[in-house]
Amino acid sequence: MDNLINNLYLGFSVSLSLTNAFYCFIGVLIGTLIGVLPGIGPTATIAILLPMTFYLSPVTGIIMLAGIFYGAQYGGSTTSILVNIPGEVSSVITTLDGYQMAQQGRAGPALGIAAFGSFIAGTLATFGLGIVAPFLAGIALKFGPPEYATLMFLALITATFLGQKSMPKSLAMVVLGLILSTIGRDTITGFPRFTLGILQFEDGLGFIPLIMGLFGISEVLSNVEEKVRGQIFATSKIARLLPSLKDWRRSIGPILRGSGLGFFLGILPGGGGLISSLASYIMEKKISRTPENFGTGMIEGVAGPEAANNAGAQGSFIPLLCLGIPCNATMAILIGAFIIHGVQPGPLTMTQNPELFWGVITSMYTGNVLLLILNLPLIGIWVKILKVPYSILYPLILLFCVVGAYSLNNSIFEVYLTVFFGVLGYIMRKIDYEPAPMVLAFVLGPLFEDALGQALLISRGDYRVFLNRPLSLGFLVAGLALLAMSVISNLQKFRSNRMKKVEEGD
Amino acid sequence: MFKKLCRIELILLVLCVLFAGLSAPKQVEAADFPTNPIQLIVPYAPGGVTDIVGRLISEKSREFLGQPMVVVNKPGAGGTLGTDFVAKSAPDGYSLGTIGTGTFAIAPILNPNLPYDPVKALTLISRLTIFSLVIMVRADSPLNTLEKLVDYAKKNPGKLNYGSAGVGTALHFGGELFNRAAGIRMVHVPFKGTPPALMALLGGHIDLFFSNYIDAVEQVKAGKVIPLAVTTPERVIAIPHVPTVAEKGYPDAVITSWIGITGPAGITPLPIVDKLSAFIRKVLSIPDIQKKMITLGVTPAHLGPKEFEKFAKDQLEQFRDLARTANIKAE
Repeated sequence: MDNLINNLYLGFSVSLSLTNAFYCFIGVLIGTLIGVLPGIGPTATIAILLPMTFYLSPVTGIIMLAGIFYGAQYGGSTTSILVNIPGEVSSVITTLDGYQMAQQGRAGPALGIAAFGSFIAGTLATFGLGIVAPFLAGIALKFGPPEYATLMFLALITATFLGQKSMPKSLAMVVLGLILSTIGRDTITGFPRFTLGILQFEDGLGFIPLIMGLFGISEVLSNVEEKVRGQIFATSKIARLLPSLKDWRRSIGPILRGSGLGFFLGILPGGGGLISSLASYIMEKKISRTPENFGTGMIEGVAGPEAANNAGAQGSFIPLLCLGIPCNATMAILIGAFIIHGVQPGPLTMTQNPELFWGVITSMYTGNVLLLILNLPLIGIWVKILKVPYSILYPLILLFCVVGAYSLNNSIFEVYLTVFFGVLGYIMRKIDYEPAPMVLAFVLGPLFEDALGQALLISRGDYRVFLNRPLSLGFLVAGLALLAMSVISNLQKFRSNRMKKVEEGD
Repeated sequence: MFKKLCRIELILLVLCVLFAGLSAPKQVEAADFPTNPIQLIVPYAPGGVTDIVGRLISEKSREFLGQPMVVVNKPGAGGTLGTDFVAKSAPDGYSLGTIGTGTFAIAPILNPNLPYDPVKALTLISRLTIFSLVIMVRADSPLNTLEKLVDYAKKNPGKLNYGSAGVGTALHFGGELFNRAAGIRMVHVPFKGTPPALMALLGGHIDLFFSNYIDAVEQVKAGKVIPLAVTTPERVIAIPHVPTVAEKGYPDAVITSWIGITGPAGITPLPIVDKLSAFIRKVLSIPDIQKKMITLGVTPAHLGPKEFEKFAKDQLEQFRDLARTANIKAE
C-alpha cells in the first residue's frame, strides 16, 4: 500500500505538470469532439495526430493520445443518446435506452448520468489499475482459445436477450449477424468466403459502416419519412438538464456493478469495450424488477453500460502497459506511437520507466476529471442541438456519417456500404426487426469462430478441451443455463397463455 | 450594380478554384522534382512495422527533397488494397507506396485474382530494410534450444503447435519453411495478427511462435520469451547472441522479410526514380535513423532500383516454390 502511494505520487507529479496537464486537456477535448462525430473514431484521429506528437516528449505525447482515446469514449455516448448513432463500437448498447430517454425529453439526465457514470467508473478503474494491474495481466494470459470460445458463446446467447420484441426475431437477427460476419478471409483456413472476388470484402464488412448505416442512416430515413407524412420530429419539452436524485438512486448500483464488470472484461483482447457494455446491460436487465421496460428509456440501461465501457477502456490499457501487447486497433497505434518516441511498452516498463507507467495511469484520472468538467456544461448545448429543426439537422448527420465512413480507410467503398446498410436498416425498421442483436452477433461471431478453430487445432479435434478447463467449463455452463432458463420461461408463458385461452374458451 | 459586382467576383472565384484544382503537375523536369508534396501510401493500419519505417523515412523528405512526404494509410486485404491504389496512380513520382514481402511476394500466391501484377504494375524504387523472423518459445519452456526443439518434434510428430499472425503471412511461411527444412511436422495455429498469438504464447496455449522481432522485442528484453534462432542469413544486431537457422544446420529455412518503396510502373521522367533512390540511401545512412531501426529489429539495407528488382523477383520465386511444397494456396 505504501508502495502504491509512492507510485501514485510519482505518477501525479508527472501527469499534473503544466505541460502534461495541458496536453491531456487538448487530448480529451479533441477526443470528445471526435467521439461526437459519428464514424470518425479515435483510431483515425490518433493516426492523424501521431506526427504532431513527434515534437513532444514521449510521456506528453502518450498522455495526449490516451486522452483522445477515452475522450472519444465519452463523446461516443453523446451521439448514441442524441441521434441514435453509436459513435464508437462500445456505444451501441447506449443507444438502446439512451435514445429512448432523449425522445422522452430526458436527454439531459441521460447525458448527465453517462458523464458521471463514466467518471466514477474511470476513477475506480484508475485505482484498480494501480493496484491490480500486473495481477490482472497474468489472468488475461490464462485465457486461451477454449476460454475465448466459450465466453463468446455465452455472449452470443446473451445477445438474444437484447431484443425488446419477439424472441424469434432476435434470434433471426443474431443468425443474420453471424452470416454477415463470415464474409471475408477466414482466419483459420485463409480461404476467402463470400467475397465475390471483391478485394474490399477480404477483410470482411466494416463494422463502422454497419452501425452507422443500421442505426444512423436508417433513423434519418425513417424520420424524414414521418416528416413527409406531416409528423413533426418530436422534441418534447426538455424536462431537466441533470439527473434527479431519483435517477441517481437508480443508477448508482448499475454504475458500480458496471465499473467492476467492465474493468475485468476490458483486459481481454478483442472486444473489451463492447462486451463490457453488453454484459452490464444484460446484468441490469436481469437484476431489474422491471426487465420488460428496458429499451423504453430506463436510466439503468445507460448508467451501467456507460460505466462499463469506460472502465473497459481503461482496463484495455493493462495488456498494453504491462505486457506490451495491444488488444485493439487503437492500442496498436498507441504502441506505434510509443515506439516512434523510442519507448517500448512491455513487462519491464513498470520497473524501468515508472514515470511513464504511472504518469499514464494517473493521467487517466486527470483526464476523467477534465472530461467531467468539460462535458457537464456541454450537456446544455447538446440538448439544444435537438431543438434545431430536423431539416437542418439531418443533412448534417448524413454528412458526418459519409465523411466518417470515408475517413476510415480513405476509401469510397465504405461509404457505399454505409448507404446499403442504411437502406437495409430502414427496411428492418419497417418490418419490426431490431439491429442490436445483429450487430452484436456480427462482432462476436468471428471472435467465436476463430477461438473455436484455434482451440480445436490445439487439442487436435478433441472437444473435451472445453470441459477440461475450469474457466471454459464455467462459461459453457453459464451459457447453457441462460438458454435453459429462457426456454423454460417461454414454455411457462406459453402454457399460461394456453391456460388463459382454455379458461376464456369456457 | 453592387450585386452584379459580387456575382462577377463569385464567378471569378469559382474559376480560380477550378484552375487551382485542375493544375496538376504534368511533365516536370527531373531536376525540379519534387515541386509538390509526395504521398506515401502505407497499405496497413498505422502503428505497424511498415508504417513506422515509412514514417521515419518520410520525416526527412522536407529536409532533403524540399517537399514534405505525407503518409496515408490505406489498409485492407492484407496490404493489397493500398498497393493496388499505388499501382494505378499517376506515374509522376508523387504517388509512392511501401512494398514488402506480403504485398509483393505472397499476395499473388494467395490471390489469383490480384488486381495488380507485382512484377509488371510496379516500379521498385528502393529497398529500405530487411528483417528477420525470430523463433521463440516461452521462458519456462523445456525446449529452450533449437536442438531440443527439433529433437522433441522428431520424436513426437504433430504434437507441437506453432502460432502465426495468420494464414499466408510471412510468419506462416517461415514456419512451414522450417518444418520442411528440419523434416518435422508442427501444427500451425493461425491467429488474427501478432498480439493474440503473442498472448497465447505467453499464456502457454501454443508452444512456439515465429515472430517479427519488432513485435516481441520487449518480451525478449524482459526475459519472458527465449529467441531460439533468427531466419535471416545474418544475425540480428539487436540480439547478437541468437544464432541463425543456417548456422544451426538448416540453410533451407532462411527467409528474409523486407520493406521497400515502390511506385506505379513507368514513372517518367526516369531520373526521378534515381533521385528518390538517392534520397532514401541518404536517409538510411543517418546514424540516428539507423539506431532507431536497429532497436526495432529491422536492418537498414538499401538496394537501388535494379538490384531491388532482382531481389524481389527472387523472393517471389522462393515463396512460390514454398507454397507449392507446403500446400499453401488460394483455394
